[in-house]
Amino acid sequence: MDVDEKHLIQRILGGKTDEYSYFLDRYGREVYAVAVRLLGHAQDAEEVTQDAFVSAFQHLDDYRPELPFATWVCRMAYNRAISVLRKKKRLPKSSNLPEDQLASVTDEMVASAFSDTSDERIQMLEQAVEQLPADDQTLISLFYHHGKPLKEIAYILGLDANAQRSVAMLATRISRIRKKLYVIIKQMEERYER
Amino acid sequence: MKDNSINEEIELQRPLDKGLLKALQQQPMDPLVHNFSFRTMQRIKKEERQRAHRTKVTEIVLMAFVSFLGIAFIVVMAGNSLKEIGKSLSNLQLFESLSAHPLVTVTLICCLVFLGGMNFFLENVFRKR
Repeated sequence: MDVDEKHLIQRILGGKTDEYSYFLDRYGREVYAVAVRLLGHAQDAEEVTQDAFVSAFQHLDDYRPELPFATWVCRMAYNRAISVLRKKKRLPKSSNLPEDQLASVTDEMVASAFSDTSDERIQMLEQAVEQLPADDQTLISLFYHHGKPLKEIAYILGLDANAQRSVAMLATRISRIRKKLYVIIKQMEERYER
Repeated sequence: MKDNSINEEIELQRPLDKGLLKALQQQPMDPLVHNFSFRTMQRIKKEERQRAHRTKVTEIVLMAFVSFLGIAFIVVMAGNSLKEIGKSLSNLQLFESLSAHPLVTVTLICCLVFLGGMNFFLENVFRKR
């Protein structure tokens, strides 16, 4: 962290409103990435991101520095994005991969497939990710792309971040998503071979 | 125990899934508009101005209400005495009149102190918000 954000927040609360632009410049893209992944629509995502930052500004005195600022705003953006989806009746649907297909996939198989960084594999993975439901995409994006710890992801998704069970549930969900991706890739490979 | 092991497993796996990480990083995504910060700051400032205006109006209404209450209290409690003071003032005997009505004098001072205190308190409360 280049700037002492705690000190900066105190200055903003003291009336230096302009200094809030630091947080917008630094975390705007990260929060937007979460919103656009969930909503799949740039304009809605931008609106949700802006609402989240405005709300964060209005509740700045409630912010607890134990949590990264971006994570705090991401949670607001996530909640707003879910509300937008609910209003538009576009809540993410779970994928319909048969359970036995997932059960036959071992962690070793997934690990070896995902460590491959060849162009062909990456392209397949990109396509496979697009086939996942929006909330699964958001979850793996937070975990891999944003590199967030499981506890912070639990907080963003509105789960009890301090409960071991919530974090374990997330870990299990990520494990399942990895397996889903593996199955999708295998199906794509089979199609190409035919 | 089992919960911990699955967390650790997935955390250990994260840096090894290099292909998946690269795929997520490379996925095309609509970029955030370049003037996002500027537009959001404009909105924040506009909402701040509106909030400050609302606060000012509330402050004025509250002040007027408290002042009205204070004046009403004085009139109810010491209306007759005030009339007498008025008469005395018209005879230019202000200080003699006030000393002749210590209750009125004390009530007036109390009201002024109360209003001053209320003003100070409300200013502090609204400035913090």
